[in-house]
Amino acid sequence: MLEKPLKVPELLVPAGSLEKLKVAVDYGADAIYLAGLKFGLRAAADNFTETELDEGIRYAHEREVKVYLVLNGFLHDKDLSELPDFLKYIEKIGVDAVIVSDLGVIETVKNHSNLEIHLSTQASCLNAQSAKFWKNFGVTRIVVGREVSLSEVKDIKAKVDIEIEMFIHGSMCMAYSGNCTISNYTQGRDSNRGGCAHSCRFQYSLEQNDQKLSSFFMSSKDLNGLSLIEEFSKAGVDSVKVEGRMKSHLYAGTVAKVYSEALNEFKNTGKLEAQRISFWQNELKKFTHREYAEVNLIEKAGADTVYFERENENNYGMLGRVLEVKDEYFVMQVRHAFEVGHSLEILPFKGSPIKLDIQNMSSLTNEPIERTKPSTLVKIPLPRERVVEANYLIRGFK
Amino acid sequence: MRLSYAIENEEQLKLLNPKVDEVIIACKELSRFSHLNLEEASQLIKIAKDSGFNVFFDFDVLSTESDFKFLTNEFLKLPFQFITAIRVQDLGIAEFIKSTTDLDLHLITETGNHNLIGLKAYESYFGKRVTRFVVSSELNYELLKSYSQELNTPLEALGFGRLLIFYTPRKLVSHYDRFEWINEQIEVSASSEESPHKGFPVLENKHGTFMYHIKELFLFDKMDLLIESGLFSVRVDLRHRDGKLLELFVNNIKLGLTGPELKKKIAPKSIRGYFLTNKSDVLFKKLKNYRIQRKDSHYLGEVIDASKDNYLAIELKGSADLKVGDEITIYNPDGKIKDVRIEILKDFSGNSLEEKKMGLVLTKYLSGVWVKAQLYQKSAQNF
Repeated sequence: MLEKPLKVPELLVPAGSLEKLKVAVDYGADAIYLAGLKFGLRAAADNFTETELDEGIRYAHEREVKVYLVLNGFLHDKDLSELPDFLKYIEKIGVDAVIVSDLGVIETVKNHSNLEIHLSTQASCLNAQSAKFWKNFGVTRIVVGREVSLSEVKDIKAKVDIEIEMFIHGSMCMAYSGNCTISNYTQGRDSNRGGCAHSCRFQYSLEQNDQKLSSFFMSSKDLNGLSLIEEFSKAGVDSVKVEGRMKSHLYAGTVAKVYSEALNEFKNTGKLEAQRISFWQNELKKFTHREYAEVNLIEKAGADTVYFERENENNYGMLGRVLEVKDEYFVMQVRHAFEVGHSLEILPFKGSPIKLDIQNMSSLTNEPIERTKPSTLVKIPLPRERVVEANYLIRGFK
Repeated sequence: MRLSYAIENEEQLKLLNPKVDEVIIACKELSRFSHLNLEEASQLIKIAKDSGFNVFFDFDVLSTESDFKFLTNEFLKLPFQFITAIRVQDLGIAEFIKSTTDLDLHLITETGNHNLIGLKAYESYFGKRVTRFVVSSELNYELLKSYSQELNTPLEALGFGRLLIFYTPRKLVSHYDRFEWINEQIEVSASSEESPHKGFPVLENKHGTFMYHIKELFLFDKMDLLIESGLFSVRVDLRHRDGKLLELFVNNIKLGLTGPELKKKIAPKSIRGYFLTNKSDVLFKKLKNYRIQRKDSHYLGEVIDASKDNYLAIELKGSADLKVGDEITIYNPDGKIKDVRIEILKDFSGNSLEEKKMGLVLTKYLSGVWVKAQLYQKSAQNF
């Protein structure tokens, strides 16, 4: 243990719904980013109604977790006319900052609120001069473009006094963010106002004269910067961001848990043992993801950062969550079916996963069950360790 | 209305008239697309200026911090005395040009700037140094018309040429050894195997990979609307095509040809994009099931298990209490609505309750109520 803990970046985790916000907070996020029903880039996520926003912010703030709200669509004039009332509302309920990519939105935020403004990665801010430009408009934090390396962040920090947020984990846009309108012109869905159809993940046939091949040539591997936490810290990154408001509860819980444990360990010891990194990397494989790469974090992304395969769902994933704990059993909400004889893992908020061999289980009316059904509740005897709490996630082979 | 032509040689320059036409010149080192190197571009810039043209230079690549110094050093080699304005998208590069040269800026706002407030903010910040906004092809002519009236800065839009729809710094084509480089770039045709979209031009060069729309944008058949839109300049960029097409276009424009006849002759397979109307956000809203979205302060919670003839398990999430005797409304995910009276409440151990706030509770099974159904105090919610 270090005498004086090191300064480490804030861990910023996505929440696509109120439930996911609670998962991310419970599993260790320092800050959450989320969207209301409008103005964001992930219209297909559940997102938050005003009452859910209110509850989510209270839940997070009671646990000293900050909440940033994304307004990062490239808004058209008619969208902007609806924004001022929403700004007043989110300021009133205590949103800590808004994440914005459009100068028109920045001006509207400044004119109708005192909300802190973070610049979205969607604005593709890639260099110090650009950071200076945005600082002049009152931006206090830049989420740098995903093309920026850690050494470049260090240079930008040296030249501009501004907070830097950087992606550390998750799916990657292949294009410079904000510079892809494939969905607009092929699907009639504005990729920069929440309608991205992920055309970059499609398989394409490439042709030149008599040469032809078939490939997922524009699909990126997922970012994984776990092994570079020390470099993030040394570069002066203020906040490390996890992508994925559309992703699962298990994803939100696992990335929050893994990265918060790793950041805390580095903060307190100044190092991360290889064995610990290996353990955490294994944890990051226990949900659906593409092959991992460090992409642009160290050097410019090459051909080895393209994901040339069709996406498949991981057969290891979330089976449910703990709803209520009694003296001898707990009640589990089942998401994916499993049966007696299966081995599950309970994911505690802190500490190692707890192995759970299912020897018997029953319905709420105490009838024995051999195989569960999704969207039902079951009673399961407590494991020997008995350290089970409500809202723990349970995972296993689906 | 002026026409701005992207050109690459003297022959193309000779087709144009400096009294009404402007020229855009680019180079491989600093521009997204060009067949010229910096020296060749510099020579063409001088010739164009000597011929009486306003010359604009494309410094339109985006730059990360480590490339910034190299790019700006290359930029400083250009013959500024012959250049009227620099066309730039990267705001860091715009800042650099503003602080180190006297050159005017044509700000490329084609991505991410679809509102007047933002454009006015740029206008206010750059002042007289920004002499043109290169606006998005997603703005329809009515918006262009109102922007032209509201802004002091002249507007330019693409009128004929390739629509860039994707720009990455990653090299996505060259690692396949089989494709041929021509003049430091590779161009292939990409056809989606999962949608009907076939034949996107994909180009890789030293700045990354660019994908263009399958069809070219062509607006000159709607010349009346182009003029009515108030655009100061309309851009023609046919550098990817045989030089004869530019000649054909220029000659027909000189003859005053427009309408379907011009389109048929010049660009029969082209599109108008969003020039007439932009409905790109209409479809997407339909994907949402608004019935399972939580709405207001009368919200009680959600059904999390429905065991036939046994119970409904409810997770109470709202701020209101649920009491025996309460009249509630249940909204099913399929849209069916049921008004019911709560007759019993029990905890998960089977103990009877009179009321419950937040958390888990069981009540009597109700036929036709499904998991994910949303519960509200009666008449509080209107869908």
